[in-house]
Amino acid sequence: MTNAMTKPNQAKSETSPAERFVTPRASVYETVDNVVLELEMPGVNREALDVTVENDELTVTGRRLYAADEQAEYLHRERLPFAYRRSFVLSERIDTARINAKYLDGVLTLTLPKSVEAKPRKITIE
Amino acid sequence: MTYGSLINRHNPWGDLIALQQEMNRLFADSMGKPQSSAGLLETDFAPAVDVLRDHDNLIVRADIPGIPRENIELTVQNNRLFIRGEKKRESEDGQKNAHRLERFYGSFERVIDLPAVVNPDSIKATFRDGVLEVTAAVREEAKPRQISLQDQ
Repeated sequence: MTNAMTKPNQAKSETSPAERFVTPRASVYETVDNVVLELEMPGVNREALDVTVENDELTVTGRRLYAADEQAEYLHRERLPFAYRRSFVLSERIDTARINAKYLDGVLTLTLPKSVEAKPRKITIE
Repeated sequence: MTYGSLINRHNPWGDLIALQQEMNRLFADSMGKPQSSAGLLETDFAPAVDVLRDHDNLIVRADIPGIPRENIELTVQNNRLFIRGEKKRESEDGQKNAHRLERFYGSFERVIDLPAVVNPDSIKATFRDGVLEVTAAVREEAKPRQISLQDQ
C-alpha cells in the first residue's frame, strides 16, 4: 500500500458566509501510475467548473444552471440548489502539474499522476 | 406574577387561516409527488428528483450522473411516470485499490404521479450532463385564464 493517496479535507468547513455548497459524492481509486478521483456533479455549467490546486490542496467547484427557473413553482424539491464544492489534501507524491480533468455525463474524473519517485522502481543487481 | 394572560389576544381568523394553509399544503403535496415506493425494496438507489411547474409545463428533473443515455428507461402508464435504469461501474480494474467509494451503482427507480392537468402524450425528455429532464405540457383548459370584467 503506497502513500500516494488523497484524503478529504475534514478540518475546513464547506460553507462560506456568502455562498452555500453541497458536497459531491466521490470515489477515489489508486492505480500503479495515478490516483483517480471521480466526483458526481450533474448539471454543471462547464464554464463554471473550476479545479484549483493551492499548495497541497485540491479544490473542485462546480456551479449549476438555474436560469430558466425564475418563473417556476416547485411542487417537490430534493436536488439542492447549491453549487458543488469539495477539497482534498494531496500527498506530495502527486505531480500536480500534470493533473487531467474530464467532465462527462455529470461525472468529473480527475487523474492525478504520481510523481516518478512515488512509483515502484526495480533496482537491478549488478 | 405573569402578564401573559393580559397580552394574549385571540385572533378569530387565526384558526381559519391555519386550516386553509393546511389544505393548500395537502393539495400541493399530492400533485406530482414522486415516490420510491415498491422500488426501494428491489432497487439499489433512488436518484434525487425535482418536480416543478411553470405556466405551460410540468417539469421533472432527476440527477443520474455517470450513466449512458441507453441505460435509462422512461415510461408513462396510467398517468404515472416511471424512471428506471441500471448504473454500471465503468470498469472493475479501478476497484482493486479503492480508498473511498461513495458513488452509488446498480438499479434505480422513481415513480412520479402526473397530475390530471398534464397531457401525457406531450411528454418529451432530454438527458444532459447527468440530468434527466422530462417536460409535459399542461392542458390548455387548465392554464390560468384572465377573465375580463365587462361593463354592466
